[in-house]
Formats: sequence, C-alpha cells, structure tokens
Amino acid sequence: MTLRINRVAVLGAGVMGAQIAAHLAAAGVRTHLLDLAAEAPPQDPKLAKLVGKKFRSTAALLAIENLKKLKPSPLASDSILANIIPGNFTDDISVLQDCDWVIEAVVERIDIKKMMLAKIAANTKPHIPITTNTSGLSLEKMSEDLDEYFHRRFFGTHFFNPPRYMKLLEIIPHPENDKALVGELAAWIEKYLGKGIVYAKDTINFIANRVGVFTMMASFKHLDELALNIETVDALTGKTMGRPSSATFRTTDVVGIDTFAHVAKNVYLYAPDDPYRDLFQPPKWIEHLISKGSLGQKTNSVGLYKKTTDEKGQTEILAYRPATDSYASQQVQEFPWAEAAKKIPDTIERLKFILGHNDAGAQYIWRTLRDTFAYSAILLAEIADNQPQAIDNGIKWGFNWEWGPFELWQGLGYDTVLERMKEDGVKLPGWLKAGIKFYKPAPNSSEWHLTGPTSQYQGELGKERGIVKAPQLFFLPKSQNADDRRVVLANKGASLVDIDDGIACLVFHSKMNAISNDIADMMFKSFDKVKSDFAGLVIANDAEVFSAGADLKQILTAIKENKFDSIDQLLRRFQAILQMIKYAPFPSISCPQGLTLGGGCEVTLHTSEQILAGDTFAGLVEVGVGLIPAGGGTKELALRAYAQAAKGENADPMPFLQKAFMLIAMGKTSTSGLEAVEMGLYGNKASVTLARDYQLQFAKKRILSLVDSGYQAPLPITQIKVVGDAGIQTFNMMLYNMVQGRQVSPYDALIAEKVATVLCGGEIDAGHTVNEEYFLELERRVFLELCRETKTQERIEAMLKTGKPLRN
Amino acid sequence: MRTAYIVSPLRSAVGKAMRGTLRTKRPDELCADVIKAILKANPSVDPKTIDDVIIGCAMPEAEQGMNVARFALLLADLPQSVPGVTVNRFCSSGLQTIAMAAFQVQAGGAECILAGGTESMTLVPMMGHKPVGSRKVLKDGREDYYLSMGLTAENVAKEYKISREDQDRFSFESHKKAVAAIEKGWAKAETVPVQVSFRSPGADGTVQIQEQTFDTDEGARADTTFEVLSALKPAFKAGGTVTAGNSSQMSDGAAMCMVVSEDYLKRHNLKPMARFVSFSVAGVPPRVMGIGPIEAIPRALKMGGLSLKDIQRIELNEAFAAQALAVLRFLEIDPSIVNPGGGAIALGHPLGATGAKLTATLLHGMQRDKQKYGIVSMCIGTGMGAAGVFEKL
Repeated sequence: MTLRINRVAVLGAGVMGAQIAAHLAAAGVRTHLLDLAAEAPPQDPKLAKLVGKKFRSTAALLAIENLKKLKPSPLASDSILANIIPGNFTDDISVLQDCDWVIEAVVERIDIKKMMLAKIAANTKPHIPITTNTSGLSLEKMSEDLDEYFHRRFFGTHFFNPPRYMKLLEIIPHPENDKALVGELAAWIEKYLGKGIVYAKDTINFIANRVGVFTMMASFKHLDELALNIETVDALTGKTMGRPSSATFRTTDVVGIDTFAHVAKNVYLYAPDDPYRDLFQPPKWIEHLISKGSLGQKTNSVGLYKKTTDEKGQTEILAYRPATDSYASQQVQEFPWAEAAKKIPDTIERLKFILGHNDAGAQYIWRTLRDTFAYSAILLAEIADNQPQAIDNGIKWGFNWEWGPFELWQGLGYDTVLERMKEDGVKLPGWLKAGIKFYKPAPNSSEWHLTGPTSQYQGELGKERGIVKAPQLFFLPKSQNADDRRVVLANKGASLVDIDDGIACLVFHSKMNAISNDIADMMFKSFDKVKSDFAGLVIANDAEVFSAGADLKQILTAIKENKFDSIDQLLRRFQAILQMIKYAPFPSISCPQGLTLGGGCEVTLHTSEQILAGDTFAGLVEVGVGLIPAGGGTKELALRAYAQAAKGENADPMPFLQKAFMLIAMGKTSTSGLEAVEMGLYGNKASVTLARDYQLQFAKKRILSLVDSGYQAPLPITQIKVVGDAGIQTFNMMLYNMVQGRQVSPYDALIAEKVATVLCGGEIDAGHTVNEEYFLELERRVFLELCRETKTQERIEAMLKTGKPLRN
Repeated sequence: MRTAYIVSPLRSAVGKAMRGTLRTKRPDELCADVIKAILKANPSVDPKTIDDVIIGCAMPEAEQGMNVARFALLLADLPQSVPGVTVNRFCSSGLQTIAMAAFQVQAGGAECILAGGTESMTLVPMMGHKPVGSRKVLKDGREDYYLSMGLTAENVAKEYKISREDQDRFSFESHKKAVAAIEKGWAKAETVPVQVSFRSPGADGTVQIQEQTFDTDEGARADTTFEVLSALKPAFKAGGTVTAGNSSQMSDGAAMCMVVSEDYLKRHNLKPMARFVSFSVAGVPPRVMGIGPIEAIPRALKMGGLSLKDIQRIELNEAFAAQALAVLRFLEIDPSIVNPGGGAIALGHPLGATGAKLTATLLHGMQRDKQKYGIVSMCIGTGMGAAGVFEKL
C-alpha cells in the first residue's frame, strides 16, 4: 500500500463531522476539525472561558466538547481528544496542505457543498483523496463546477451514525475517479478504521438507507393494515428477526422521527420512478408527531414512545396510539408461536418456523420481509450494480441485521418464498426465475460458515460472479464442526484450529463463551499440541463476545452439594493452565473483543501479548457475583502493581495496588479497548486495533514476528516484597467509611477486603518476600471463603436467574 | 502564678487549598513571614531573648515535616540560638501552642515565646501522604476512630437534630458575614501581606517567575445564595445532609503571636493585646468529634473563674455547620456573638494554623468593638474539643 494517512481534515463540525473526527483520532490519526469562523467571542461567559483565545474556532471547539456528552460515547477514551485539532475555515484552511485526506461534512446543501469543494480544491496537495460524507446529495452535481483533476480524486465516503460503532462505510465513486486511489483509501479504511466497505452508485440515499428506510416505511404500512400497535411490531421486528432489540420504532425514536422522515421524503421527491414511491410518503400520524415536535429521544424522549415517571419515581414507557393521538401503557400482543420460536436459537430456522403460521404477527413478519426482498431485487441493478452482496452487507453493517435480504431469502428457501410472493401479487423483476441461487454456498449452510460466500448471482446479468475471500477473514468455527478440516482438536466448548504458518488458534464456542470444564480441558490439550506441533498460539473467536466469564452454574452446583474440594480443584486446574500458557516455550496472543469478563479476561491476561479490538468491554467483574478473580487475575494485577513500584527507588506499592484494587473491587468494565489498557487492566504488552476483521491476522503476524525474533518465556517472578496486613487494613479504613457513607453495602466491603487481602499479600507483616504461586494460593483461599458465604450464593443465583448483579 | 500576655497576634491571609494563591507557598516559609512581621512590629525585642518557638501543625510531614518550627524560625532569620518545637493536636494545634507558651511563662520557665501554627493543605493532604490502617482499630470494634470527619458531622446532625436547611442557612450567613467583613477591611490589622511566587514554563525552556502579594482571605463567596447551597449533593453519605457547601473549606495559612511575661513586657516596653486567662481540652467519642467544644468551653470558663455571661465574643471554628450549630444550641450561646466576621465555612480552615488564626481574629475584633472577654474554640478529629479564654487589655 502506498497510501499513508497521518493527518486528515474533516470540514464541518456537525454531529457527524465531529464523530468522524473522533473515530479517526481513535485510530491514531491527527485530525483537524474545521467549521465556520466566529467573528466575536461567545456572549455566554462560560463558553467564552471555554474557548478562550481560540474563539474564532468556537464552532469546532463546542463540537469537540459535545463529543463528551453524546451517548453512546463517540470517544474510545478522552485521551484521543489530543488528536483532534479545532480550527475554522477562514484562519486554518492552510492546514489542508498538510493533510493526506480531506473529508467534507458540511450541511447538506448543494450550494454550500459546491463552495466548500472549490475551497478544498484550491488548498490541498494535488493527489490526496477528497471525499464527501453526504448521505443523499448527488456527487456529480456537487462537483460539476470542478475539473477532471478534481474528479479523479473526489468520491463519497458515507459513514453511518454513530460512526464509531457502525461498521458500514459506503463508497460512492465518481465516474472519472482514479480507481487505484479509491481502492487504496478503501483498503486503508478497512484496515485502520475497521469499517466494512460497500460500493454504492450515485443514486438517492445510496444503498443501505434506501433499502433500510424502505423496510421501516413498509413497517408503517403493514402496521396500519394489520391493525397492530407499535410495541407489538417492535417485539416482532427485533431479536425475533435477527435485528437489533431497538427494532423498528425504538430505532426511529433514537434516530429522530424528523430525520427519518426527511430521508424517506428524499426518495419520494427525487426518485419519481421508485416502484414503491408512495410508501415513502410518511403516514399522516407521523407528520402529526413531527408538527407537534414529538421527535423521539432528542425531544425529552417523547415520540413514538413516551417516558413517564410517576410520583413514586417509577418510570414507564408508554406507546403512541395514532388513532387517538395519545399514549397508552404498552400491550404487546401475544402470538401462538412465540414461546416455541424463542427456543430456536438460529434466526433463519426461527423465521422459517414463524412463517409457517398465518396470524397477524406471522403475516406482519412475512409482508415486511416480502416487500424488502422484492424492493431489493427491483433496485439491484440501479443502486448496487447487480451485486446482491452490496445490499446485504449494507443492511447488515448499516442497520445491524444478522442477515441481509438476499441471504435471508435464500436461507428461507428461495423458491418457496418466490412462490408465496407471486401468490400475493407482488411486483417482481423479470430475472427472478425459479431455482436462482443468490449465493454459493447457501447462506447458513455448514460450508457457508467455513468459507463465507464464494460467488454471487448478478441479477439481470443472469450470471454468477466469484467473490474473493479477504485474506484477513478466517471464519473460525462457532461450534464443534466435524466438517472443518482445519480443526486439530475439538470438544463442545472449544476447538483448536490450524490457521496456517505454524500457528494454532484456540477458539471458544460455548454459550456466551463461558469458561467451562470443556474449555479448560481443551486448553490443556491445546497446550500440549501447540508445544509439539506449532510455533505459537492465538486465542480468539469470531463470536460477539470473547467470553462472558466463568461457568457459574458449575460453581453454584458444587457449593450446593458442599463440594468445596471440587471448587478448589477447578481453580487449581484453571490457574495451572494459565500459568502454563504464561510461561510456555511458545508465544501466545489473545484477542479480546466485545465482552471479555471475569475468567475470560483472566485468560487474556496470561498470554504473552494482547491485541484488543476497539470495542472491548473488559473487566474483572467477579465481585458482582460475590467472588474475586481467582484464575490468576487478581495475581496478575498485584504482580504488575508491585513491579511498577519496584521501578522507583524505595517506592510505595500502595498507590499502584490501590489502582488495581479499584478495578477489581468496583468490578470496572472498560468502554473500549483503549480504555481497557489506559485503566490499567492490561499492561504494556497490549495493543488496540479498530479493525475487528484484521484482529486475528494482526495477532498471527505478531506471533510469527515474535517467533522469528527469538521468543523466550518470561522469567519467573520470585521476589515480591508485599505490603501485608498494614495494606489490607489501610483498604479497610477506606471501606469502613464507604459503608458508613452508604456508598457500598457491608457485603460489598467484605468482598473488597478479600480483594485487598490477595493484592496486599495476606495478613502478614509488611516486607515479607513471596513468589507468584503464593498469590495463587491466596486467590483460592479467599475464593473458597467467599463461596461459603450465603450472600455470595445469593449473588450467583441472582446472576444466573436475572443476568444482573445483585447488591445484597 | 505569673501572668502571660499576648502580643501582636498576626496571621497570613487564608488561601484556598489546591487552586488558591498560597498553593505554591511552603508552610515553613509562610510562617517565617508572619514571625518576621511580629518582630518588625516590636522592634524593641531582641530576637536573642526569645526562649522558644512553638508551632502547631496537624499533618507535620513533607514540606511541613522535619520539625517545621525549627525551619520556620531559621527562615525568619532568628538567631540560631533560638530553639523550636512542633506540636500536633490536629485542628487545635495553633491554640494548643499558645496555651503551652502561656503555661511556660506562667510557671516561670520562659519570658518570651513565639507560638502559633502553620498548615498547607495543598501540599500535605488530610491524613498525610501515607495513611496506614491499624488492625487493632479496625478489627477490635474501634473502627469509628477512623470515621471521616464528614461522617462524624452526619452523626452530629442526626443526634442533635440539625436539619439540612439550618446547616445551609448557617453556611450562607457565614459567607455573608465574611463578605461584609472583608468589605469593611476588618482583617487588615491582623493580616500580614506575604509574597508568593509562581514558577511556570517560559519560552525556550526558561522559567517564568511571577510574583504576587497576598493579603486578603479568598474563601468567601459573594455570589453564593441559600438556594445554591441547598442544591448541593451530600458529600460524605448517600442521603445525608452534610455538603461541601456547609463544611469548612480546605485552606493554606499561618498565624503566630508572642507570649510574654509581665517583666518582659515592661523591659521591652511592649503593648499587650490580651491576657491569657485559661485553656482546656477534652475528649469526646470520636464518632461525634464535632461536639468537642461542648465539653471544652465550660471547663475553660470554670478554670478562668468566668461564665458564658461574661463572654462577649467567640471565635468558634466552623468545621461543619452541623457541629457548630450543635455546640451553639447545646451551650445556649447567643449566635450574634459568634464569628461576627464569618467562620471557616466561608474563610477556610488551615488545620494546624486555625487556633492561632482565630486568636488573632478574636483579639483584633475585641479591640475594634472594645470588648473584654472572648473565647477561641474548636472541635478536633478523633473526638476532642479545645477552648481558650482571653481577656482583652
């Protein structure tokens, strides 16, 4: 790759522009955020103080301030703000000369965009990419006044809101583009920003919003036709269909009803030939809500839902009733298939089951799916250049659906669905003949899970086109899979996979990847296997969560049966294998991502290095279930604290232990990979990548480099001078006041004292010298002490029952 | 028994800890400035004749460790023959030193002693840099020895039924009185202007030094209102009543005076401010340390052969509005004679300096208002109270 992007300018500090800047900043890019220059300091003295001498850049400064308040947070950590440099179009336009990429994100008005593009053209190095983040305006029109040299490097990069979290980035090429440049930037975006690229044509709302918003509009229509209420529709169109739990109308409230209607109207106004044009005209009651100013979350959470609080402080979320223009308590309609459907974990199988019914609920699901399938097929050529994958990826990455329309159609049975559509008299394009396979292999087939799609059917072109697997994608097994020839060892909980070049990958695939006996067994077996047959070990998986922690059911059962010895054995085994990995003769790298909690987090703490995904929610959260990390997690944090103190001359370990104590005793979970490192959960061998798809490849390359550069196991840690009982009592002094101040419960304090007991090295005199094994003994002792406490048992039971921690 | 006289009770202005003007000022140097001012005000005193320098400090470590009294007197350019001792009784340290000096003079053990206190809460935090818990305290049913001061105030509020509203009103009054007093310049006579310097990074690796004179208490807020104070969240206990606004402020400051015998007074032709009458310190349960003055004030009065009726002015340290109100109500003290120029809630509480600071404020106030008997009193962490009685001359 020749393109090197160190410095980027984002022009326009609106909510999108600022968030794009934040994402670039998190990727380590120096980012200039520019907006209109202010003529005078702000009137408000508070704002005036905030902007100080830089008042000319007030708009950008306030946008950066606002980043701290947005939810979900666009900031991987506050520290990344150092990478965002505020400025204004007037005084700072010269910074564009130093930039490697310029993103235009000003207000969606063609005249203003034209002006801005002319300014960019005049102030940039000649060959850098210049892109627009427009979500609907025509690129050709926007740049019509500029010359071919500009057109070569001008295209659309449409981020989805919120850009930190949404994987989709639509690239809208200009016909005169230098294709190599577009390709290079796309590759850079995938690798550094972690986005999934979908190429879209320069048509209204591009791909994802065109189809996604269509589905929402179809939802309105069928809601009226089938006389369902909005909460029932949300119950139907959320997890049941493999879509986000915010489903249809809660999503609309979050986006803003006006924003959503604006995007819909865009189609109505500018795509006069759209086959479903009338559907894009929002229903009257939606217009009514907009005129009332009930726009959803941004208007005090009054929109399609309304949050109310009664005298007792109990909140209730009421649902809108279009017929009476009022809000009522939610009444989710029940359907006969609901209970049985819940028990089907696979979304496609579940939908097949539901579609076998004919009540209003099943009809609703059918009709919205049917319309979405038909619409996607009709527009395939126009918006997606006959590539079904573009629409599927757009919808999956831009709207968080588990399956895109074409994948789902084929998964449900292409011909059956087609027949039923025809029976319903749905208008369809002529190329939809019987027996078409949108993809090979079939979506959700065992083969599909091994390779992903290898070819797609190009609609009206009537032929297949191969899909080249991106080298960074591994398609790790999500269950024990006898067909997967890469698998070296496997049981129900985990598999060891040969990922080539002498590297093996240990993949968890239990429920929520909870650390079970199976996983522990597989870790031992994998250790031996890697030691004899491989050069290094990666611990990673393709699931949504790395691991939600230890298998609590197993522990609770042992407690109930009074088998404390078996808990001790369990801990010994888990500690032993993690110590083996830590001191293995081969290097190991773990890839935390998503939830990486408790025992799962402890696994990652013991590998030689860690490569964290940008969205890693990691923590040693055992106190929530009345326990402490006893798989070496408390030990690792203690060792690190003592090691940090040992770097200073006669330095006191207490401030370092205190930091570790707060992490464990408060059960703190990171909100990003970067934060997991900054808060001290991971040490200096951890790095972060925003590119989740590349995480495993990076880990593999890193291991190979460790192997090539003569990896040696770390030295054993033997001489740790602990703070002992005085340290524990110092924590107790603080805990006592927290209990008295009602900030924590007495039982919280008791657990926290146990955390302190391990960190401080037990109730011994200060100054004793101990080794690593001693901390593991303390972990086990304290863990078993807690297991015997009724309140710990209650906490475990509550977690198993409700999934939420009990504070007793 | 001989009489002990107080000469030139002076103090620095009180700075807000952490962000205030004294944030860079070392407490030994600050105290030295006050000592110099006392000697300057009494040119007839030959420094060689000073028998001892006793300085109170509540957290005597780091910049205020190493026997801060000895350092302060040496930095004040007193002869090296003059000794110094540091005394710690937490918040009453600055009054304790005056009493110790007075007792020594009364007993004939000394003719002239410099006494007072100094504290930088900016440089040394509450509990010091390395608090260490004791197993004996925490595991033997004595945990309340470690109860944070704010939580003891919550206990006092509960047991003495001091409402949140009363605490906030009291605090608002403290600010109002302090702002008015500063406007009228009441503290001018007792305040020693001190030089403060700030060293910050200049251009090209140079040091930029900024000098400033600090001469006015900076804690009082003219812009606060009862409503603002009422809106603050409890600072120490969920659902509690004690807030940052109805607690004393953390501060930096120093205060000293000269305690001399009658002979010394005459020999050097000094003008005494007051006669030391009596001093008492008493213990109370640590969990309600704020009520300490309830025990200390009556004892000190009794020792001095006086009763509350004789007292025209009281400087009662406002550690917390809750404890100050509990003391006033329990002893049935007329609030109008207490802290007429505002208290620690508005002006700040530089721990070990507070006793001497309040003595300076009391005596100068009595001079202004031509009053005869006054008291300085405060509560003390881990459950104590102290009170000193003075007769203005």
